[in-house]
Amino acid sequence: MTVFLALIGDVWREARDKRVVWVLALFSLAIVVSFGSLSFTPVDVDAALRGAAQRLGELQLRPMGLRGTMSSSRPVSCTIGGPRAPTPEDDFPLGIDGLRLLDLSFDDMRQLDALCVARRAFQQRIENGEAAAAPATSTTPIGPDVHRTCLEAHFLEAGFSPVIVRSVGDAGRRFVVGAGAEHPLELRGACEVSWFFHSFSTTLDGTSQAEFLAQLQAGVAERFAGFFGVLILLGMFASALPDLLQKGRFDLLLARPVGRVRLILFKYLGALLFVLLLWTILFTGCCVALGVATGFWRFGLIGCALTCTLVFGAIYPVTMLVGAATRHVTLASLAGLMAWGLEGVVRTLRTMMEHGQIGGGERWKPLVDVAYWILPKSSDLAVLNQSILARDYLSAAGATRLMGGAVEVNWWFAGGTTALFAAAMVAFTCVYVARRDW
Amino acid sequence: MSAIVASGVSKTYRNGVQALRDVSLAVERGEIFGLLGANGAGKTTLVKVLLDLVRPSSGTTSLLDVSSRRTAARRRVGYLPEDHRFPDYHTAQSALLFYAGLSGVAPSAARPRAESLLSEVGLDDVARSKVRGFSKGMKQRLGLAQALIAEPDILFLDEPTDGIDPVGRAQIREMLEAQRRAGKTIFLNSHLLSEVEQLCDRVGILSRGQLVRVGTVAELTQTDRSLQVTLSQPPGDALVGELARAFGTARASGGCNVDLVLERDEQIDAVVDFLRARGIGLRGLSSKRQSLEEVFLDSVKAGGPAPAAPDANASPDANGAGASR
Repeated sequence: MTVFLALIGDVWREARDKRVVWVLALFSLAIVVSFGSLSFTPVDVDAALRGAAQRLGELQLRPMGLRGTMSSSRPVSCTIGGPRAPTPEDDFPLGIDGLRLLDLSFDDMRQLDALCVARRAFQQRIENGEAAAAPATSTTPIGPDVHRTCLEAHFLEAGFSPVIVRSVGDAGRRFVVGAGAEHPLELRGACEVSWFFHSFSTTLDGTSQAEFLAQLQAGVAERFAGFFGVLILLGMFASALPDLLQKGRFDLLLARPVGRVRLILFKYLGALLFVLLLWTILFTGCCVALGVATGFWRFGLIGCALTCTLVFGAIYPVTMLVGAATRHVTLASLAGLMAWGLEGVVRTLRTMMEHGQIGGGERWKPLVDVAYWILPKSSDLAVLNQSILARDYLSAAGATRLMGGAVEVNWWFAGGTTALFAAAMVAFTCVYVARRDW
Repeated sequence: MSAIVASGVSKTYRNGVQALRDVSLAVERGEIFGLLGANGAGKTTLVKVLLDLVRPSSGTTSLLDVSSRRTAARRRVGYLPEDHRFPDYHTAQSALLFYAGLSGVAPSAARPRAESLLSEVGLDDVARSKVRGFSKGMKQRLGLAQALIAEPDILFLDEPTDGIDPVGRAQIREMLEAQRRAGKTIFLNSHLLSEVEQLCDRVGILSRGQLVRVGTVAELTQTDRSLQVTLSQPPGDALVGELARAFGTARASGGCNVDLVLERDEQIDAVVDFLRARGIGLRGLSSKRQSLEEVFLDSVKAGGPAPAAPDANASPDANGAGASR
């Protein structure tokens, strides 16, 4: 234990000595402060319902979870009446708390038809795993059921639940939409957000308060910790092994009663613990700052510290191995980055082959599959982060809606193969160091 | 039980350089053993083999009866490598605590020990300064302190006084004497023959990877029955000639001195009688010794030129040794 603590302490001392870690800490502090400066002002539910009706022509679906939206804007002209409370004549089920009705009357049914076709095309593309593309138009006549389903889907996406749509009159141009607000935080366009202690304010039109918070935290986990952070930390720790193996320095360690494998293993674990602690502090800080500022005490983001650390933990051993073999810091850093980039390329290739987007892809598919199985799964782990955050802030239906067409990921497979990759790289490094004369 | 044992150790690096050839050696407990050798003779390789930093091609080594290949063998060992480098983010104190931790010494025990050692090596004023600002001499002192931090029973020191001023050298010699008095075994690699002569109980000379001489300084510098006779007056050629005829080899060696090489120890009495019989006064009689330097140079010359040491900056894959020799 004394040996372990000595080596961990050494890794941390080395990390603290690098200026770049303080830059990272400064950025982290800025993020925590900005989270603490947030405040929300809810907008009336009726206004949100009316706003949702006004945005009827705006399609906004998520083909890849929180990573992006697929949107299209179509002119849909309709007269909006209400919102109002339901009356017995409306023939809506009683006993739904807070149900509000909206009367919609369409002037040009062809616009509604086009909207329904575009929505269906979007959904098909998401189901096929395709990225955003211009929605198709169709001349096929659309029935009233399709209209109702289309309108229902729109208000559900706007965060209302339950949603009931009734066709009124014979011409099929008028509809009554009954919408409840079972999860007020999930209503899109029902909130105004202020940043930096009320210095800047904006209305959340296309998103809900819960979605906004989940997306914000996903940004911190994925873009800051998962990308920017990994880049900085890889660069920072890339020199650790080449420096350690310097003539005259490694001798001082090897002359101690510590095995070479243990030295390398503890060095790796030290770096991993440092990264885990860094992200845990940052993410906890974000959660606490957000809780104090807005009253939302959710801690799902802290779980993302594990996945972000796992991503680093899988790429860093590549840097270690190349660093040990070449004693070249730049080469070591590049090797880590290449392994990381290769994983992204392989994943994209695999998805494209699965959807037949690459001609003659079948020939290479087994090779790409093998590469996918071997390499770490940082993209899959990013989806896991999104899933954690979506489930933390939203109801099950809301989370599914927010995650949209995100690819289903087998977490055990993704996490397990990533950990295996890391273990294999660390093992190669240990064997290399153990077998050499120093 | 010997503290350090090497038995038939040979080492050939991957680039073909044969660094050690069938070296066998035993260093007793409490002994200070000095290893001499020209650059590239294999001194550092031998130490590294003993510490398992370099794996021998053949032969075995042990420390305190534990095979060097086992981690436990290094439990009671301190090592000061030549050209050692400390991580520059450490302070003198944190470096000592780090190395103590690696040796399994608990921080509570290591802290007072570190303070005491820093004081002994004259670094107590800079205990909390980063190593990156240290001079070569300061780093060398810190190196010695790190070798002693775990209170080892065996000390391997590779050029311990390198870069240290004469006053500092004297201090270090005193520290090593104190270690000897405490019963510690010291294996000293040094180019400084005077240092080895002053400190070491026994000396080994390594030439081209072979251990060519081992013995006490007195044994190594002793020449066979050579006698220097100091007379009351300068010897004439006739007297030198008579001495040569009577005892074998004789030559005037300047001033009143005559060097004789005898065949038997009993002849010393005969020499005295010979001179007295001729009325020649005798002012001194001593057995003649070589200096350690002469012994070393003779041994190295006899062993032939040393092989070129592997390039310190060579690619690690170019040879198996890096610059370990």
